[in-house]
Amino acid sequence: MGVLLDISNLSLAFGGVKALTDVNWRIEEGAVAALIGPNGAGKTTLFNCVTGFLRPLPGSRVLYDGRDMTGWATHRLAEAGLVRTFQHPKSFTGMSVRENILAAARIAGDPSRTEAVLSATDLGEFAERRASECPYGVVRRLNIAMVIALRPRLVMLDEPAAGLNDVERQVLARNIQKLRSEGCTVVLVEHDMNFVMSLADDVTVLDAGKVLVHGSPEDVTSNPEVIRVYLGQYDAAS
Amino acid sequence: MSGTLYALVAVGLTMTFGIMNITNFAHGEFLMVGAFATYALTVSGVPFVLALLGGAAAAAVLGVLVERSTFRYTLADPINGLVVSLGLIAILQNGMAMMVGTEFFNLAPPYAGTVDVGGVVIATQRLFTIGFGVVAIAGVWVLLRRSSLGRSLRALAVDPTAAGLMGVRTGYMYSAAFALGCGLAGLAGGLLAALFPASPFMGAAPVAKGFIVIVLGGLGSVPGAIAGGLILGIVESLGAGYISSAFRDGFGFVALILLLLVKPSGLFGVMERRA
Amino acid sequence: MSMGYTNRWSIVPWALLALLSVYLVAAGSDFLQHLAVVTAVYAVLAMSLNLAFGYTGLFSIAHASLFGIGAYGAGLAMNFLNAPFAVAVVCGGLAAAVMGATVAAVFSRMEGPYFAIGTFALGELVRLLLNEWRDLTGGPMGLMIVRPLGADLGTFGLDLSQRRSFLILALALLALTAIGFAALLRSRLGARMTHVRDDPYLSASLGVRVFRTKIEAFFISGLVAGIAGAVFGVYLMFIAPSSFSGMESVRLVMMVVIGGAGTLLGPVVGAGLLVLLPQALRMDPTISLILTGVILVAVVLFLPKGIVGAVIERARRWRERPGLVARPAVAAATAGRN
Repeated sequence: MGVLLDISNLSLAFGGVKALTDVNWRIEEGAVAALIGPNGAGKTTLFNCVTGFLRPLPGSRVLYDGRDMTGWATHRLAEAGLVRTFQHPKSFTGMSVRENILAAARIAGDPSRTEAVLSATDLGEFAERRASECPYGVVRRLNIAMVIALRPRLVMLDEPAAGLNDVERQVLARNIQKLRSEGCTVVLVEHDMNFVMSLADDVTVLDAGKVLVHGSPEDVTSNPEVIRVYLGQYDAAS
Repeated sequence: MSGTLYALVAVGLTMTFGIMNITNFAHGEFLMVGAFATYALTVSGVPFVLALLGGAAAAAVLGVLVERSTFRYTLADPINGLVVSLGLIAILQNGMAMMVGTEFFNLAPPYAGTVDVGGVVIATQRLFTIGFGVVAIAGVWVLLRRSSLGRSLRALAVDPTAAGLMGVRTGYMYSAAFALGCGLAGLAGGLLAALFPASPFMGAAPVAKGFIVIVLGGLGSVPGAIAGGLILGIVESLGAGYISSAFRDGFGFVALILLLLVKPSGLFGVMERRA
Repeated sequence: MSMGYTNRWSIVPWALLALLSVYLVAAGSDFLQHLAVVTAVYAVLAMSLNLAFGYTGLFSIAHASLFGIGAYGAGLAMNFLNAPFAVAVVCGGLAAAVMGATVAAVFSRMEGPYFAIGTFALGELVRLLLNEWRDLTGGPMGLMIVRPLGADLGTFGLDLSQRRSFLILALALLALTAIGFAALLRSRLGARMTHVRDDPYLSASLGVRVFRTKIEAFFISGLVAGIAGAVFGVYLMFIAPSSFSGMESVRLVMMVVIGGAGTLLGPVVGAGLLVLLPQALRMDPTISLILTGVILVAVVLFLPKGIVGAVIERARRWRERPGLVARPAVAAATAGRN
């Protein structure tokens, strides 16, 4: 397949504080890649850097499908097939679930996909309900549905399982598998290790803005450094 | 001197923005209320300094009334607060006009005469204005930095939920913040009344300057407001002196626009990026 | 709220307006016709602000300036370039459109309050410029505009010495704006505009060009405001910078908010209320301003969607009341939009 997203020397500073330092990360096309790390490690910041919400420091480089798209605007990335979701569920609150998906499908140029996406994500029963009146888990699913409607090449999911119960997590896992089966590359930030273990092909651990370790889920979870970083947090808390 | 007055107005304005996220376009009307209160008090024999405090108090009380009846309910959506403030402009300006007419009211400067300061001759009243303004700003600064009220207010500005959980009585604090901001405006109004004619519509120009200043200094930043006020005063004087005095008011706007282009968060502001 | 409910009943108010218009043109008294011209012009102006604010989420306190640029643009074109009326109107409209696009380009990277403050500053700057550039604009004394003689292509076939012609013109402009905006809102640009308003970050992540959409919205908004200004300027035959102040922009915001931001009819209702009610009740202008302020605050606190918005919301609730089977009509309408 090949490397779809190639991040090298990505650095970012907020004022005097370095949030990301020389992050190197390569994501294979078709893979499910997970980014984990303790709170405050910079995972969402990394996402924001790659997806055009923050500008990285000079010297950083992000290649998407071989093209240099460092610092590209968010919409340009989306047009090129790189789509993201957000930590907090978002929607066009005044519109119904169906209209939300339709909006995404229209932007992608194929409004007829709406029905298919609705049923594929089991959102049929909420189709006419206003997004603002839908429960948390449903809106999360709606976000995934909107992403699916866009037919992206690379999807970056920011903590997609946060706040979901077990059943909803299973549905999410299924939707991610569905994306993957359609050839989409999935990158996700996640805290839930079990979730990551069952889904991810490879895992990258971020700590204090630096990449700690990279490898298969088994390797990473048995890595003593990783355990220290996660458990160290635990100890400090207690 | 204009710088000091701008700073006074701006500090109040930036406080309401920083703590309650409200862009209060009606801030100038509180200035106006303070001016008229000071005028009324002085004219009925109250010593000027007391009249000034009375004016500030009147503005502060009005502020609390307004905050409790309206702004408190717009916290969820800041744009609503902005729109409410626009309505308040119409109400307060014209309400006052109904009471006192649209004529100008002249207050004779209580400190007449001039003073020689190192070779430069300044009107005593202006000197007094600067002095009093500086004292007031310093007072607010100390209040914010040292007192428990100030600490609560600053906590509220950063994170209202956390502040509430820590025991800050948010409702009370919002009123306090707003009252403080309006009080400062009222004080500026009183000081202004002794220098320039007062009218129900006098609030428009100062509030425009106030907004320029707080954007220059960064919305929500008190030190920024102070610095910005002084900078604007200087920029205007220089511009009026060297380029065009008729366009004096315009320099601030030009500076504002240029600054917003280059650094949308202001000189001291911090750009927040939501994800 | 973003996708307004269009059904058979939505056309009723417009049909009523059309009937009213016919009556006014044919049989209205001088005074009534004058009021109608003012109301129609302000309705168009409010609609233009609504496009930027209600539909794209850009809070502008500069629209009176756009109005003024349209008026001055047309006036100067006619006075100094001897342009025919139609050309002058286009000039005014384009000048305001460019100004609008510039405002958007300059300020739209900023969050809500910054944007509002920026537009306010720009508006005041324009007023100051109009005041000071006396050679061009006549300064605070204002500009006299001479109405063209004759009735030819340049005047759309109307005899512009007649008040009635301006009434026809203003009403035609209102109708065109309403129809044009209705079409615009169904288009892809219209969808993009409401997406930008509802959630700019989400929109960007889906591929919407937020910045470009804002500029396009403000260009059209400015164009309409400028044309309205041009027509009004020539109608009044005299314009001065004081009519295009920040307070005037605030009045426009009031019209849009009270009437209903984000609805097609809202600004028209708002303009009607703010122009006609004080006249009808013979109110002292000071009192009417206080009342308007009170109504505005009340609307923001109790009827945030404005009058028309509240009505639409009521209708929607009634339509979707429990007990009603989910109608295939909605799905069909959705499919029909594809």
